[in-house]
Amino acid sequence: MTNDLNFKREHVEAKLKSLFILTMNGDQQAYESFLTFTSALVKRYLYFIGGINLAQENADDLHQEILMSIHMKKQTYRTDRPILPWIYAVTKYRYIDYYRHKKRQPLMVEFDELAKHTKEETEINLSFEDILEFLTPKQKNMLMLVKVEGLSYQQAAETMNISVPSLKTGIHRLVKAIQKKVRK
Amino acid sequence: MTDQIKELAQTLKPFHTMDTFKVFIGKWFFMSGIIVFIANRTLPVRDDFSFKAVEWGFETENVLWILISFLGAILFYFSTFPEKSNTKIFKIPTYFAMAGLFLVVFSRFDFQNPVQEIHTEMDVWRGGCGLFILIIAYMQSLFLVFWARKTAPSNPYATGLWAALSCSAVGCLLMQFVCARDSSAHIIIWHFVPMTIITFGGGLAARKILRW
Repeated sequence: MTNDLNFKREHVEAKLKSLFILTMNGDQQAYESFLTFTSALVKRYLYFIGGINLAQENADDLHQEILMSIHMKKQTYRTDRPILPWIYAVTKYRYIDYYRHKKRQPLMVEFDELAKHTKEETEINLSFEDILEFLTPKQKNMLMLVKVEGLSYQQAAETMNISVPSLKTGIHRLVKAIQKKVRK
Repeated sequence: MTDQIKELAQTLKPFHTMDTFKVFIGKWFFMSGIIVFIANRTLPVRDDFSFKAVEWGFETENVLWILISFLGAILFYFSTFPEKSNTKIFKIPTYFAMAGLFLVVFSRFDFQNPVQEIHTEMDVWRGGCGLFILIIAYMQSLFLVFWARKTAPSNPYATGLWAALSCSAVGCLLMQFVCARDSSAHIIIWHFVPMTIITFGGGLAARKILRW
């Protein structure tokens, strides 16, 4: 199926459009082909707009969401117009929306991901003590309160007598520092 | 991924795509007709209507309100689809119609006694027009919101903005036949300002309502 993408744009357009028209009549086989073909197109387009920054894990989530959006909003395609701009428009909207949503909670995600990775990676390269060694006392305190003792940002900030944004920034910096150290 | 595709395919049922432009405009005219009919039955026509009906300024204002409402509906329609459409040919006349309307109304402003005119219009009891515009716009917007919920706008704010502009322009048009206060300050404060608030409020509301 992916090899079909190497056809000329007009062929891809015509094939997708004919599959979509069959889909409108309830043809499940045609719809499956349409989605499979679209899925490959979306993957390629995501690589084009997201490039190497798009981690594999994120790409799969995003990819699923995009296919879901195409499924849910299939009635918004106007049959008198080309279908590829419509598919790309849905993909682009979902891509932007996904990252906008993700950006609102970057610290939590980063830290959790880091915790997962550092656990595996530090077993090979570094011990937890090694990591703690290069952190400042303040950073150690932040790490202990939030991740070891499991306090909320609010509680940890009150304990350390600093503001929540300062705590978040501090954690963000220490996460970066640990990432750097682990990669070495 | 293959499993997800199979699952989605199994849930497929025959479906229709969204209304074509002609069908949408037909529905919009029908809905506007109902609103005008209800307004005609419930709101009193201004006393001086027979005199005003032959004034060119009054007629120009009405034509401009109709134009804004109609163009707003067209822009709304095109903004509800995810892919971009070239809507410059509708946007530019809309901006010109709004500017023209403002100039026609502002040309009547009493520059001899501006403070007095504004002061008189600041009376809250004169604000009933704004309320009527809001009610009419709300009624008209029900159709557009119902229609837009099935769509996939790539810019929900713009979609809401055009919808609210179109609906509030219908409200302002109807107020032309009801409100006998013609002063420039009254139209600006109690017709234009509510319309502007409704328009931007519609844009903000659409961000929540039209998420997909």
